[in-house]
Amino acid sequence: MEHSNDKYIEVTDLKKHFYLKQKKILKAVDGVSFSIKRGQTLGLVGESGCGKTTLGRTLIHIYEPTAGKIMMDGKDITKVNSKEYKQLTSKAQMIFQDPYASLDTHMTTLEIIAEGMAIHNMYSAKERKERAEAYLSMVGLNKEHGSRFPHEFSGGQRQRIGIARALAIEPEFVVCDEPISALDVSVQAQIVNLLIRLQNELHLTFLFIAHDLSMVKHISDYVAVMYLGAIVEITSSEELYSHPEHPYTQSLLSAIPIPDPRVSASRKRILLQGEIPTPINTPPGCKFKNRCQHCMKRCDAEEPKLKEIAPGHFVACHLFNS
Amino acid sequence: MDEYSNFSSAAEMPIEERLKAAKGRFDHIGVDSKASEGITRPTIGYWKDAWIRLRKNKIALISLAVIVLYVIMALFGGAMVEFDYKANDLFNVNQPPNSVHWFGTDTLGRDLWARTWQGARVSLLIGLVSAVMQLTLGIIVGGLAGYLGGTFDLIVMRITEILDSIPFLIMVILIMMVFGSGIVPLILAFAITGWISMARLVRGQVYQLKSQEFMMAARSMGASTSRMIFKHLIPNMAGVMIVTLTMKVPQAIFSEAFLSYIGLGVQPPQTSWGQLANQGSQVMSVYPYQLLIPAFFISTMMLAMQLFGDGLRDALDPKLRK
Amino acid sequence: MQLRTIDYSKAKEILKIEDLRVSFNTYVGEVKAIRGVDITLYEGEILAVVGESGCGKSVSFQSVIKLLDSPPAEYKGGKILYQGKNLLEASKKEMQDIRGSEISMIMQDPMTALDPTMQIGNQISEGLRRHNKGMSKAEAEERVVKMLELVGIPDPDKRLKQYPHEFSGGMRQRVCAAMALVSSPKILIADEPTTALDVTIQAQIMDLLHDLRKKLNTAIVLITHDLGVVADMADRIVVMYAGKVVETGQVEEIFYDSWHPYTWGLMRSMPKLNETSKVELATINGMPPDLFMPPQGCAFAPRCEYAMKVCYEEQPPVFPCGSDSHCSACWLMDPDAPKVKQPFKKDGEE
Repeated sequence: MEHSNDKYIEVTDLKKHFYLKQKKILKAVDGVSFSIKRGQTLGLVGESGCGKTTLGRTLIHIYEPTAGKIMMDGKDITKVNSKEYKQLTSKAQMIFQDPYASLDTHMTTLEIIAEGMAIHNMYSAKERKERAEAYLSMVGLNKEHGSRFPHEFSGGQRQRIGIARALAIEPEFVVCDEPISALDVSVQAQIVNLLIRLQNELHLTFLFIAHDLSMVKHISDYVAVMYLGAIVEITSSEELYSHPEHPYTQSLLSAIPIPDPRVSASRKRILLQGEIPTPINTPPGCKFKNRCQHCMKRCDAEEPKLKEIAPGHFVACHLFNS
Repeated sequence: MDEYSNFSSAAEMPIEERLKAAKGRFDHIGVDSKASEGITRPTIGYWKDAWIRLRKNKIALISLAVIVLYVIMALFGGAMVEFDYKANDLFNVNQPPNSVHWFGTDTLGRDLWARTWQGARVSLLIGLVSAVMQLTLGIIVGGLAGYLGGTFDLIVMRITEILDSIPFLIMVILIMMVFGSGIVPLILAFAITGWISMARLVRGQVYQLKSQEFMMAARSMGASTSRMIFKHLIPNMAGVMIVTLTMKVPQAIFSEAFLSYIGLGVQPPQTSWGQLANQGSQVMSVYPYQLLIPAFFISTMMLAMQLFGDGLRDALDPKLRK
Repeated sequence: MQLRTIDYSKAKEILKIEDLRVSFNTYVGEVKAIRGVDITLYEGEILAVVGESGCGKSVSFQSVIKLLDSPPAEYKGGKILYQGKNLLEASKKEMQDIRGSEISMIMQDPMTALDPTMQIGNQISEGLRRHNKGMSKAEAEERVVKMLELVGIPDPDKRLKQYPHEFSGGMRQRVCAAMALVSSPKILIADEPTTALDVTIQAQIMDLLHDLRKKLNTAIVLITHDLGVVADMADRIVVMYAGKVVETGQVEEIFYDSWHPYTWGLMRSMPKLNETSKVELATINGMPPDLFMPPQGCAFAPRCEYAMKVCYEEQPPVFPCGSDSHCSACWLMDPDAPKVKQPFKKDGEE
């Protein structure tokens, strides 16, 4: 759906359903299409439970997609066998949300970083160690940290170890699954800067998942807003922040705290009522209708499709379908 | 904010030199990039950490000393006296403890010191071997059930439930009927009945660990199943497994004592602590020491093992790490 | 323009923490988590306590209601004065009476703060009936319903028969708020009440707290790592770093007239929505010191662009910054120190 020729990732109508007991279906990802150009970042934003993490995991086959198509670097990777999967893991990597749970506490930092290289039989054992040390310094830690165990580090430092681990395999594509949401605000900026720097140095393509819009802007070229398994708005990050069109995007933006009491006090906020409903047996129509202040008759009956309302700006809302 | 960015250029010189070079109290020094990223605490690995904590636990240490003492005595105690544990001496029956027979003699004039430590050998052997067998079986079956999940898990768990519903004594008697009585059938009986709870425990552990992000991270790096099991699952379960092992050993020793006591266990002239207690109980009212001595060793050994297991559990609990 | 409701020249102190020192005894040694903290809380105000994880902001207020396990925690000195009484010397019984009825707390994680086996109505009324012995069950229930209504839970008379798992994250945090407020405490300590929640829910909870303060005139201590969250609702802000208070002031003094480089760093690292994307964010490089070996001088010096010789050698005293409510522990405030331009200076009314 995006212009340009060099699409590194292209996802068409991707679905991931989980089949629960009593014939319930949890539609975590329900028909999502987007593409990411080589070397760029797509920010994926939404509240917890909107399916953004599932989407990220489905992309790199931690979950198997239910339907749809995933293209990576011109190759169809929708279905992979175990050999192809291993190949895929050498190109696509993931950075995890919880810097405390995502590192094996029994391994030293160097072992953690070198593990991927060992799995893929990259380099000799000695070179692996040297390279692991190089990655350690790349993320701002030093050699002495190599023999330490994860529990000795702070959250931000651990997240940097997680980044080094993912990058040591020399991937081309990295799914960053809420890498900053468990961290202090002041540390979040460090991690975002690090990711931007590494992206430029190593020509990486990112899918950056987050639950609020504040930091996403700084790292993303494009931003997609997700709600209950579907993308409701997708456009360049400049455009999204200057002209948010979907009511949900608008309220997400207005929920971002502004670190300036005068501005903050004078701004008009759109407070969302209630919380995101469960994605189990969702009713027909627009998924956002229960919390939307512009809800119309049409929203009850028909689910809005993504529509290009300005060049490169797609919104799924009946307000723009007249 | 511009003058602020200029400040960082001075940061190259080591901090001590900069401090020395500065004359006035209010001379500008700038950041110390080394100190602000350093870790000052000494590095402590998982096992070292556990050892430090175990060392602080006096009760566990005393228990460990008791266990070690009993093991040494089991190995060498018999050789300290000239008597053979099987040799009858009908001229010296039912001697109370004295300088020749340190623990006295039994109704057939056999030296109780020699018999006690021979019994210790048998009891410890049965306890240790059957516990290790239970552990191995449990890890294999429970590990596979937990790791593979799905139908395999379902079938295995139903089988264990059926096996578990057969009362312990009936199981033992059945095995005795097939293999006869003695040390080997006893070990077999304990292994066959004891692995079930072990398998359940392992399965639960695996299920819990499987959903952790570091396992997912390993998988997303393309790790093979065997790598996942041996590099990540087993080291992370090791603590719990060891604790369970220390709890299983006294359980087996006690079961053996119980079975021997009711005449189902080790047959004379071979002996065990339970067997000794059985024979002692027959002359309890006349020669109480014949019962009290083995009873003392059974109970202190049980207590020591339980307390040591408790201490070990506290020491290995990752939640208590700081 | 927001109206500040507090007139600090007349405000009455309700809680005063004086030179509090708390250490944790670990086997590698003593970790000095709180190294002399002074915080005053006034009646009916919202006080935000801001700092990175590990700075001691939570520990300070857990000390107030003595929630810390001892060992490993150890009170090394100082006083916590509440209504003229030093809470550090209060007996267990006295503490139990104060906890919940006079000073209560909302925890960070609403998922684990509620007992999953108890109906929420009973959970809320449990404390109420313990503190008010004569209260009948019906009275208590009436009060619980009122409370649930106040915190914005629809159909309170039905929902009080439900169990925690039947509530969503945001709703549970509301239940926690109801539980904390049911005995009308004088002080409510909210320890990162929104960190575990989504932004949209965070906004709802913040609004709720703001609203509750207006209705109940409870003094609220809001512990957070995010300065942005408190910008439009706090009356005063305490910035903590490495177990010490580095700057205190009214909101506008902190946001527009701050005098501590750490506060500047915190404000710089906040993302600004009007910036172009893909530019490098300003950060505070490095990380806080390990309080196992606290530095001899200012704890922030190794990360501070402005650090001077004296900063590495001596701990800064607390300097007043123009007004009674505003002070900063930074050597830059020393009359002999070189003059530095405040990066976030904004004058009076716009």
